[in-house]
Amino acid sequence: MLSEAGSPIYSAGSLFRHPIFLIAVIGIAARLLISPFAEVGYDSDFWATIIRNLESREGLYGLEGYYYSPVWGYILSFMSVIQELFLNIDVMGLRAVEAFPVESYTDWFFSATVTSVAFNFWIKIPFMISDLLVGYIVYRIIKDKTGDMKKATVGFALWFCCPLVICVTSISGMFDTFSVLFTLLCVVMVRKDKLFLAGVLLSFAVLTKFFPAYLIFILMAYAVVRHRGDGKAAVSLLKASAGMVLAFLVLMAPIIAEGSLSESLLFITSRAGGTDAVTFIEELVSKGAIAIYLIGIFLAIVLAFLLAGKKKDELDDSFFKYTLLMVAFVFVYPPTPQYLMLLIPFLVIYMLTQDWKFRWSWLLISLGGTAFILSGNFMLFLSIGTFTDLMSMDLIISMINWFHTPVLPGVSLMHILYNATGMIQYAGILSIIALFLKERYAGSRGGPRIISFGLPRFSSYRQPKS
Amino acid sequence: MKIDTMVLLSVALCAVVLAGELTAYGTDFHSYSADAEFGDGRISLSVTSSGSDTYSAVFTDSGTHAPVTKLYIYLDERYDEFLEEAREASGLRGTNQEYSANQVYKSLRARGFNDISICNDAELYAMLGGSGISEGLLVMSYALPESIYSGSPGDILFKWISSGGSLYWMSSPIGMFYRTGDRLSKAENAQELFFGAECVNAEDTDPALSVIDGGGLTDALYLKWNRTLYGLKLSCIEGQVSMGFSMNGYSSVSMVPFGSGMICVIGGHYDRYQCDDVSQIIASGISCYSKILGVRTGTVTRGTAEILFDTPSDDGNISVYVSIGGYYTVFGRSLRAQ
Repeated sequence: MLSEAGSPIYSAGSLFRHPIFLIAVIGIAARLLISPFAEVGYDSDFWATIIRNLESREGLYGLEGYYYSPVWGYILSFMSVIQELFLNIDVMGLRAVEAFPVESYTDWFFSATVTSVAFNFWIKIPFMISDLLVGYIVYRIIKDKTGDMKKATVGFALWFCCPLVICVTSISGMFDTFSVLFTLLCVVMVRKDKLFLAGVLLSFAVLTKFFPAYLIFILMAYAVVRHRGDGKAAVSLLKASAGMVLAFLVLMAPIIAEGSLSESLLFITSRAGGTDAVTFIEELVSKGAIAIYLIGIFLAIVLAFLLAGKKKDELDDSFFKYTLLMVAFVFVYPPTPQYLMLLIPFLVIYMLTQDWKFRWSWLLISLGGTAFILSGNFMLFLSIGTFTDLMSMDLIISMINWFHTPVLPGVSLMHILYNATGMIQYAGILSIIALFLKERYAGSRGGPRIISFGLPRFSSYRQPKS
Repeated sequence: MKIDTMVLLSVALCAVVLAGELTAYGTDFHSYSADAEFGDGRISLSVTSSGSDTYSAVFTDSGTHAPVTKLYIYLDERYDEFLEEAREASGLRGTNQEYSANQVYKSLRARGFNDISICNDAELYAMLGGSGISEGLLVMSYALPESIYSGSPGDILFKWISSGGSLYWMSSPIGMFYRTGDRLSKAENAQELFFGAECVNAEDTDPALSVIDGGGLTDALYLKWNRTLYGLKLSCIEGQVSMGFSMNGYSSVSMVPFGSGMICVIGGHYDRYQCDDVSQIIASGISCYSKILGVRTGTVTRGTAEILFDTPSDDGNISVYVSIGGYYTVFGRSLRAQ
């Protein structure tokens, strides 16, 4: 199959015969199968609540329930109109009395509010579309950089069939994929020198979820190097800034007008301001987090300066290297699985265009993050228990209780699972930074060869001669 | 001219987001309504939705107690001043009172209850001088000023309730504290004063696990908040109506008669679910004096559902409270014979 991955796609027929089509079908099928039945009730309840608030004409922030900057809320608003016009989802969710005992487990964000199978399915469809588009952009970037269809196809697969991406989209039902999509489109536009649109897209990305903001300096540096010598650097930066400011104002206008600016920035300010720390550990985490954010900003500026010093022919490769390092550092804290969605495409692009040994980071993050999400165990099946006969609620609750039975004093299996899987995932993040440090201080050994994970289908895949 | 697919894709995605912005803040895309005709021993109810929604209609006879049509929300200007002291004495969590009051205000507005005033100490004192008939007072603070309540049966608060007012108390132990000048004082006999017995759950913070049918009100009002801390015993005094959820003999929502008026206690710390519940209860106009005549539920999809309900009489005390959207209530309306 992999040998066919190198064949060009020139028509619908050739697309259907190309391995990328099969990969896409597998990824879509996995999402369609999982989406209706698995949910994280705590989050999906909020999505339904936001739709309720919008339909009550209270905007995004009038009634409690929306804690993010506005883009995801606008997407939900668009979806609520489609839902209203064409769908018959009369029950978005309910309070499942049989599940009330789970709210006694106060260590976790457990909720007995269960969204319906139909709502779960509907809310995750746009995520799937976004995942597919991100996969396509990853494919296009890799193909553009290497001219190698095989690599591009593998890149598509490593994103679209990445178990972490599938789980974040189809189980957690988190919207980070939109932020990734806007970020990658922004990168594409910067590389195409369409800087006004790039600025617009960066605003959309940042106002979906904040993290792409760390890339602003690196993106600016890219434009500066590209226009070095042609006297257009300042104009280019102005164009990008104009796009960014204009998009920000358009997106934020109603929120500023209704006086909800502080609510809309809560996702950022709640992190930058620390928490109401009570214990020493909480204080340490809070202060440590602020330190990480500040170091992150410093690193972003340093990387931008380093990029600005590059020659034009090394610009693109350096850009993707610094971007990956930046995004990896951003998630030193907080390392929540859905946030890592932003990391995966840059990791995949870097792996396939520059250094294949980063596959281990991909593996650790993918498996660790996936296992972290699945550590929610039977909590993820409350929709099935409430709205279908596929699994009894008694079984689900008894299994949730079983996972909470202490196996050590004060420590349940669930604690162990979350901590162990969280550590694997975190090792993946740190491994990216460690590999860059090793490369910097010990020198890179070996070329960018693509070798096996131990899986036969990858074993014959080699870096083409350039 | 060759169209760049990436540019096209970018523009299309931005357009979707902007369309969402327009529908969130620009156009009134969603519409809901409920109308009723009373007469000839029946109520002819119509429920309309521009989408697909569940609805419930609760038909009640309010009896001699006039339903609440005007609500005052007490905003304690010195809430933060004594919060720590109250927290130590009672374990209450505290809340951003202004935000919470604003949330209840908006939730009520979405349910068609618009006659709401936020009042401070002086305004509250002036208000309590009235008869209290058709009036409600929502207290979200842990304490009242001494001029209103000082742990004495002769307090103006009790006079107001006795004469027909409805007191709604949430998020703290009812009547435990009052403010005297620069001091927070504890009323030792609060429960006796309010209920004539020890009724309040002061300790049990666990989620309630059982549903109280409450004449079908728990389901019909889509009550959600399953906490009984600060809630009342299920059978505390005669004439009590409990709904919501129960745990160890305590209820999440209780209404008890007091003179000609009523006291309603909503259990648990402040939460958005509690906000929804208290809004449903107040907007419905239901009290412990209400007789539930019936509940009708159904689904309305991009159209109007017609419901006919036979009533025992045509007197002016019969009303129907309609809510649309189920657990995610988007619309509520209390309808009465004109």
